[in-house]
Amino acid sequence: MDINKPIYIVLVSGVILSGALFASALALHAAMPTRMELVYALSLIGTAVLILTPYLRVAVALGVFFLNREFKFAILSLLVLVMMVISFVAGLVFHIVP
Amino acid sequence: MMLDVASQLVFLGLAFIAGFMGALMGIGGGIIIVPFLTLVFGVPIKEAIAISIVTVVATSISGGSSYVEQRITNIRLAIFLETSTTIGAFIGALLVLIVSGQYLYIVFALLALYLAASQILSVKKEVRKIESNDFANIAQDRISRYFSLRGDYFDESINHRVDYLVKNSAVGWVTSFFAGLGSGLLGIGGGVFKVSIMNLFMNVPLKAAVATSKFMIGVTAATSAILYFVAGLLNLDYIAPVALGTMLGATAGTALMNKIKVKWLKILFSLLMCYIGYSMLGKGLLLVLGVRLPFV
Repeated sequence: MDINKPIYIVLVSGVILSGALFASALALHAAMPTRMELVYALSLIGTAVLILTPYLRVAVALGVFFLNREFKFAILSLLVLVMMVISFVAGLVFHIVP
Repeated sequence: MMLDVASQLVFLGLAFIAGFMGALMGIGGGIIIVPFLTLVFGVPIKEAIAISIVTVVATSISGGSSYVEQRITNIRLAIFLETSTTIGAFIGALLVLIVSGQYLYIVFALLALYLAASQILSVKKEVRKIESNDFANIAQDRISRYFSLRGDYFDESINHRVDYLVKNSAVGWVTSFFAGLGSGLLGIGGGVFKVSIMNLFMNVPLKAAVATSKFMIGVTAATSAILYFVAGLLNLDYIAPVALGTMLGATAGTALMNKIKVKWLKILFSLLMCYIGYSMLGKGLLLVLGVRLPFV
């Protein structure tokens, strides 16, 4: 399987989904300024989708490299994913804000 | 309190410019966003940095997706270098707890100025190497061969397919670690350093380096962004216009980047490096010696 395609699909899905949520938040704010709780909810979900997309991108790369039997790159992807998770957990434990 | 519609449009426009420049140069765009938010809108620096980190993720996935579609990004090289840059960023973030990074500002500033000079001095060489296919005529080191690190892309500015072989992978891996360390320790974006490492040390043409850096920066930024998110430092009033503007700008920038001649891209990149070097030097001198440089 060509690695470019699944990676592209993950990235572009993240862009479209988070972009649509942000655009909806802006449009809702302009149209109905009293519904702020909904505007904030859309912005919050959009941010979550945005931030999680790179994690998903590395996880998908790991899966594709594994399926392609490119084990060297599967291991490297796994290492990157582990480091991302460790950094996140350590950040929470030690209260690190970059 | 949520911004009024006019302010949101200003934010959208500013973020568009940051996303556009970031896509052309392979960087996150925080260098444009942070000063504007703090100096013009009076946003507290921590909140401005948090917003900027989210825009780095936004520009990385929107610009990154376009470059992957255009097949300029070298995904295998990105993953190889991401291993060291994530380890570096993690150690850098832990070091924040025990050491002060003020001297590192000066070190990274001098490095940025050195890399800016190197980029300017290598303009003619890069153009010649692309035209004569010399990026593919080099001896690879053992690690690059082991991982089959190579790539190609179609340069639309000269209608020419550019093949290249990666070299000096060990040097690239180690320097990428230090780029990550600086990113974790100082909160600086590592994009400019990643582009330079690939282009100047690893025999990766500038356009492929820009696309690959764009792809990579989202990984470290996403981890930082989650921490800001959890710490409650992400101000939702600004996120939607800034993130959306960045995405649109990055999409426009990626459509243009491959059409620009590499000579102009390198000159633009050098100017940006000079600005980054100067502003980091200003921060460092202020923290270490209390000396304030003009315009910093």
